[in-house]
Amino acid sequence: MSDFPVLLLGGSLLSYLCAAVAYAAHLKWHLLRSSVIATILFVVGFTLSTCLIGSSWIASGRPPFKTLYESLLLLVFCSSIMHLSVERFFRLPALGAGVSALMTVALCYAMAHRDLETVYLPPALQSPWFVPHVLVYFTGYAALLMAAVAAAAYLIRPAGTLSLERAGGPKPIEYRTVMHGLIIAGFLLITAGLILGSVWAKEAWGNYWSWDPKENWALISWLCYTLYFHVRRLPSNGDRLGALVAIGAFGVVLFTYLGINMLPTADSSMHVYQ
Amino acid sequence: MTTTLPTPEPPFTVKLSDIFLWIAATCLAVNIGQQLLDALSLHTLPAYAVWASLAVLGLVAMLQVALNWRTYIKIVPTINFGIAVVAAAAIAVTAGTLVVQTGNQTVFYARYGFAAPMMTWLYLNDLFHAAWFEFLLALLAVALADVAFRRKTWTWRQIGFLLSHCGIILVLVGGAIGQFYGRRGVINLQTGESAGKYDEGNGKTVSLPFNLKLDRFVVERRQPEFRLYLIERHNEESKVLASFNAAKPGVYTVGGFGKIEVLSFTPGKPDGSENSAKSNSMSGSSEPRPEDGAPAGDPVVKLRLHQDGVPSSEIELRSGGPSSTSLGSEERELRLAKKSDDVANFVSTLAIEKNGKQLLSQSVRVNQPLNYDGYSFYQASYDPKNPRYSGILVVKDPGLTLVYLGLVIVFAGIAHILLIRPRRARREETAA
Repeated sequence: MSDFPVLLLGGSLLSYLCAAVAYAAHLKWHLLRSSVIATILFVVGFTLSTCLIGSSWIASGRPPFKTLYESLLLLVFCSSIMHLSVERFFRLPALGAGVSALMTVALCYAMAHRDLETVYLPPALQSPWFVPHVLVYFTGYAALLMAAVAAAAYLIRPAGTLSLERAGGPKPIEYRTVMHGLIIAGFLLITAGLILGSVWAKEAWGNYWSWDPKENWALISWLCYTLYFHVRRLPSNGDRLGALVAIGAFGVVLFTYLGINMLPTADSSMHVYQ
Repeated sequence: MTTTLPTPEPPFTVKLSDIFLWIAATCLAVNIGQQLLDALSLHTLPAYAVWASLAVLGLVAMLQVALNWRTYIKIVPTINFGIAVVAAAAIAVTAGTLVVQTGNQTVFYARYGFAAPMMTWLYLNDLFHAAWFEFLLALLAVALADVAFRRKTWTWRQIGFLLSHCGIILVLVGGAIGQFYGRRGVINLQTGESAGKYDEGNGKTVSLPFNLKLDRFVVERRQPEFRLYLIERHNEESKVLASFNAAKPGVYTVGGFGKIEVLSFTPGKPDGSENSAKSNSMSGSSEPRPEDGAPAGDPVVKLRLHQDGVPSSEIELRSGGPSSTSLGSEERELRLAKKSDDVANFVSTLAIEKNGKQLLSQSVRVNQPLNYDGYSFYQASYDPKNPRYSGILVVKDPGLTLVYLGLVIVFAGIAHILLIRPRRARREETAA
């Protein structure tokens, strides 16, 4: 692999790491300057990772969403957009520490799994459904990742609030409200992703559902978030149970994304990363 | 005189664990029923014994329902029941990914040893087609229908709830129709051949109401790309450390190794031979494979190694003959090989013929099937050793429209519940 992509990858990783530190400083000491620096560093990291995806796309001549390495970069891209949207439109920078830290971890993992050569798209992936299906899913994963961070924060401090920066002054917003809002966004996106995937599977393989291990785990993820919406309505401790389910469900999402290769049924899957 | 008000009845609740147990017991009963029916068809038990057992099972089930029908009516629309059924479905699907799904008993028993008989008895080797799993899905549909209608969800306020729950029912019903009335098979064609039947498997062939002819078959290939692979071996396992385009002269740095200077590349004769790998219609491997016994004139790369600042003498590698060189160590070698994923696509030109007349002709490739008269024809496979062969998948699914309709309705319903209704409620609150 030539040096330029490695430089972009390393630069992005460093930026996210520094952003995580700056966001943490803002959370701890409420310094406005560190919040601004954190956002700038986050944007720099996002820009570099976007350039990396762009250069991959140009070099390979196809959307870079196929291999594990490419998908990790896409996850970082989608998560960054999600976080910047939450920060910009809802004035909620506090999740930045957790998100930046996770982006750093994802990029470290990507660094260890870099592609040694361009992998061409097999015939099954040469479809107009490829880009929307993957983009919708990864944006959903990004929202659910942030929701899991908020859920963890809620479990640690149930009465805790984040500061929603508004024109009339800061307004407190509970962790569970943030968690719920992000799960709504993520759930809608993964529902759309599941539907797009089914339609694509019918066009490519003649069957909208084959009980493929990846499809099954995508369904399990969807069922887990369905459980979340129902468990929240239980009369006793619904919110706390909901937060636990949200974290567990994100674990299922992570397994759906990265863990299928470990299954004994992985050999029969059409979705295993190469 | 004081009047004592009657103590209000506590709200009806059933423990989640009790509902889980009930679901498990019911699934077990259905499984026993399937075992008995299988015993009847395979003649492993006398017919009278099977029918007697089924009658007892049915009687017990009916008595259970008859004696507890009031409880069932109360339980099914509760949120606990919904949670239990969804969780049970998730657990069942998880089990289906943890246990290898195969009809091959030998393979299954070899893998699972002493646990295999019990696992087979529970149909864990073919879980997604087991009667108890289908019963679980049917239970989900019943629960969804019951709660949608009992809660009187046909108001604008509740429309999302109705749509999302009924949408899932439509998907399940469409899926069931596809499973029981759908058709699926394979047609193996050589170029110029036509066929009026397809193979459903297990020796069964089914006729089509027309003939399908393969006019032309083409494997579209990318320009062959030869690459240099730096490979490390440990205990019979090999790992590719680096990969470079052999046709691009230049100096390539490999951390922990040094530099590889590609001096020149001679492409050699066009490679007309097929590789000997079995065709897998969808996947491709990036493992480097040297060409086997290629004739003179095969691609050659000349290179030089730079390690510890010291350039080596010129090394010549061929993709045919000796394609690799060890690098002063038995654990590392440099190899020239053709990139293996050079098949871009495979395209069949299919014609529909009836009574000697051609009704339709269309190119079919992966992601671009031919649809005609309720049948869909997919480009499924090819044979690298036989350039005239094309494997066509035939599918007929009468439940497909219901499934697609159900999916759209589910999404609309969920969007209403999670986005539209809360927004409307906030607006009404502000207005009030």
